[in-house]
Amino acid sequence: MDQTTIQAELEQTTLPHTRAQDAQASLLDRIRAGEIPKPAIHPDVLEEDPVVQIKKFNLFYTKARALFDVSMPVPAGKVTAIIGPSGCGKSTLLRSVNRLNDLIDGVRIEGDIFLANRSVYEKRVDVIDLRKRIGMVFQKPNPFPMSIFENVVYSLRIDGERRKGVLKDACERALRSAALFDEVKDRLKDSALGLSGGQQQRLCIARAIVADPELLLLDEPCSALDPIATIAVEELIRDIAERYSVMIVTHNMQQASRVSDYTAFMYLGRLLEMGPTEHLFGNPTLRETEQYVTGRFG
Amino acid sequence: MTGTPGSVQAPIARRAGAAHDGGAMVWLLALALIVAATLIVSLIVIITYHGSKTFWPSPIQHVSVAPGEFDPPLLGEAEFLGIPVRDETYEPNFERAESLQSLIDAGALPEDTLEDGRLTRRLYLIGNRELDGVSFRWVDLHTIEDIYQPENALLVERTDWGVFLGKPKAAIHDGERIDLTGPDAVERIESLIREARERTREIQRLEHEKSAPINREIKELALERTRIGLQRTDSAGSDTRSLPTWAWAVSLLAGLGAMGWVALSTWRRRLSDPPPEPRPPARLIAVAALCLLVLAWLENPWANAKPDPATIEQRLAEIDARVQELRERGSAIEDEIADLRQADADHRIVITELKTERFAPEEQSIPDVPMRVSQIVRVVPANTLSLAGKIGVYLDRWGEFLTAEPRNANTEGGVLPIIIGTVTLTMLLTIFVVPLGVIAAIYLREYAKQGLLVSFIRIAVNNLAGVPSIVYGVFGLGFFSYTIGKYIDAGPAEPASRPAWWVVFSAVAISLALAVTLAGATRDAARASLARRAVAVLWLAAGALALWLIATTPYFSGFFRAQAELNSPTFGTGGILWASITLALLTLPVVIVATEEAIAAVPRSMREGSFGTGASRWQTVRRIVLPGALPGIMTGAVLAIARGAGEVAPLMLVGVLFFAPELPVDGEFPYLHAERSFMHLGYHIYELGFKSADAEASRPLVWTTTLLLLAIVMVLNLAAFVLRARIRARKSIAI
Repeated sequence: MDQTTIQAELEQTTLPHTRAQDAQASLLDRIRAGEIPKPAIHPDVLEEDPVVQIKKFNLFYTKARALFDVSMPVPAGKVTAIIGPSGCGKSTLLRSVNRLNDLIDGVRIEGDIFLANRSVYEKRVDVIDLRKRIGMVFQKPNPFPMSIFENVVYSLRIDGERRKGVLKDACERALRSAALFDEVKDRLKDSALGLSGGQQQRLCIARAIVADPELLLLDEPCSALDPIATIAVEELIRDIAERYSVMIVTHNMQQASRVSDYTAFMYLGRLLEMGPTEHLFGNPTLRETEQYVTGRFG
Repeated sequence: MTGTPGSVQAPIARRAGAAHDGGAMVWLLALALIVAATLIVSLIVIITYHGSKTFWPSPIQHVSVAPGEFDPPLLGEAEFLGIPVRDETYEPNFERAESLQSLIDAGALPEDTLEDGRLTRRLYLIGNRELDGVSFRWVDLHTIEDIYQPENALLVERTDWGVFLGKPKAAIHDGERIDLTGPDAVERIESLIREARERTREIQRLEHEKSAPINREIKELALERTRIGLQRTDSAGSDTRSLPTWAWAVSLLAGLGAMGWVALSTWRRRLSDPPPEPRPPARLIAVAALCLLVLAWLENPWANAKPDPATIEQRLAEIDARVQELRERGSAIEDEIADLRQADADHRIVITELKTERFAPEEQSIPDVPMRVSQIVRVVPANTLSLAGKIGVYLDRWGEFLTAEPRNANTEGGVLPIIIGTVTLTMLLTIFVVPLGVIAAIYLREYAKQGLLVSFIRIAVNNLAGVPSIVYGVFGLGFFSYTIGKYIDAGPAEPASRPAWWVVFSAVAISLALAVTLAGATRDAARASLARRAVAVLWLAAGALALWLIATTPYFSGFFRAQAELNSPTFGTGGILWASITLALLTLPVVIVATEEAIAAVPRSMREGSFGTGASRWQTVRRIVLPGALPGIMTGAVLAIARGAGEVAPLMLVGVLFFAPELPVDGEFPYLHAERSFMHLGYHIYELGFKSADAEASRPLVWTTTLLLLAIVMVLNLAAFVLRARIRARKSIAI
């Protein structure tokens, strides 16, 4: 959805003019005019132990600026959801954490991100080592064209692990964690491309957690799945959240409210508000957040 | 929705029924397809038809021609044996036409003799070239008085002089004449041929197993003699001063020590975690160590040791003695072979023309000596053969074609050495082009920063595909044979002086060291791009200077200098190695373009998934991109190979021969002789069709060889198709 459509929809919300309305309209207007508002971060968030600290982070594509001074903590051992309308930079932010944006020509960043108090963007950092500490699952299931077994143990293979026993144990553990083991245990040698969409996505989750990452990044993991598969994956996310810190990007607000402990709301590359999920969905600080989560724009 | 309210727009009227199905266009498209398909199908059908009928035994006709009408009349009898080849019409000259017309008007000739003023004539294969000087004869159809197929007519295929048409008369064994006119003549001749074949085989075995090694050794000894001679003049003329032994030993030890230290510290760093700081300047030291090792190798005092004149003389005497001994043994074997040939000469056979007593001689120059039995390859009693017999002859001829060596100046017999040459060339070409093209494409697509330079390279590669192939031939000859080949043979033409060479060597070492140091520094430097540029320039300079070092080194005087001195260059002329590299260059664009496309077709999500698990770029390429791109890469490789296998023009400049005495692969060490010339099916077709003395005689073989080449290319394509389908099925992914 592009900006003009958002604007058009905003114009259609013809509520009677109040002072609050004026202020709200002017905040969104001011953002569109280029202002970077100070985000409303709930004190509970700051009390949590952070696994990731994003500090004054900016990202530029060759011409356009995609992220504006984003600063937020990601609590350890919790599920943090990032919501916002399409094109608000939530996926870009997620991919900045494991520096996947480095692969795109012409990307430039300012500011820094810290994973477990170590900088991600410092010169000395080995990007490969960094990505090995972070698991990632993508929007579209992307199993590799190899067997189910090889898919799961891919990250161990590239680390040079050759012992059959270790690989087998790791594969079973990861598949069990991904609630997929019972479905595929008899056909581990078959091609992963023969699985259904939901199974493929759970396989990708198994692949992401097989090496016990410090952080799990989920980039709209259910957007390509049917409702039943979505429920299975959501349950899985709740399960694995007991062991891992999870960052999940979604544009499905019900999903965010179902799976996450904390939620951040982004708009046009800015972080507007962050807080405990029930707070953000029940009684948000900003009117814009309320309007967005109640479906009045975006 | 910004339409101004109130303004009513008039509805736009659409035109109906106005040629919207594009009927004419569809017909045009279909026509183009039909034309293309017809051309392709007729190509295949015509080549298959002509190529496959060559070996079918045609009946032998006895033709009687009206006296005086024989054209040209000087060619002998008015009766002859012949195999009809084809009919055609032609326009007779004016007087002839008039006289013919008057004959027709008088009723002496049928009405249809002249059709629109054109006569019909028939081409007969009459063989017996050594008797009449020609083996084909045109006959006007209206002059033929009688045609019948004599039962005892025999087609004799011989090792020389083409075929002979006649009838068997007698066999001569030790001067004794055995009659061969009976009904079992053919069987008896065939058994005689089998015996003769045994004798021939024995002679060939002797030549191959006993005579050839002796000749080879004599040749090698002659080479060694030349080499010793060269060495003598070398050590007389040039300075052979080298480093003192202690300096050599020190630099060798230092180089080895530094290498070892680098290896050890790298190994230790790999073991310890976290890595100890600071890093040793490992690469710098490695370069220095490498330089020291090169120095030590080049200045090896023992390599330049002057040969002692006394030992030289002794060796020369040894060589002479050995050559003498070999010559004696060789002549003994020659005698043995001559005896066998003598025995073979006692078995002769008389095959005469049908009505005369003229027989097939052993040589054209001695017409009164009948041919040896061993000169016969095959006899075909074409007129009495049953269908099974004809099929037998047909298959036998195919077998000979595919498995035997050529004979009669390559215009008859088999093409096995030519197939071997073609296959070897194609295999070498594959070995060169596929890895090179795939690696280049991977770099272009996965590693290189997509910018102006990469676009330029891509355009250049695509343009290479359009360069006429003869240009590649010229390049191959000029660069590979005459530049690199000559260098391998005899070293640099104008070697640099030693001090100059060492000055440049130091320059290379210094720029390499600088480049390595700067490359390490760019990690932290703010002006990284400037440093990167400097590193690139340094690398380029070092590379160019290193090339100069290699090209003018005074330390290398060729691997095959003696051969070059004897005027038979080894690599300094055309050969299968240079030919295959030239073809690899020619087909490189095909592989690069196909591989690039296949790599680009691997979905981005696969790459991101791999990078997301912490795989490096190389791991991603090796485990995800390459397997996914494999079917596409294979397609490109096969297209390239098929193109390379059919290419002839460049080969004519870089080493193909109509008759190469030695094969590029044989049972002798090192089995693959990359420097040798070779034969090639494509060139064979060209020579047979356009260069052979008797174009009419070799025309059927041109068709058959073309069919064979076509079949090989088709089999290659089919194999690729099957392979690709199987890979795709295994990966169950459609890319």
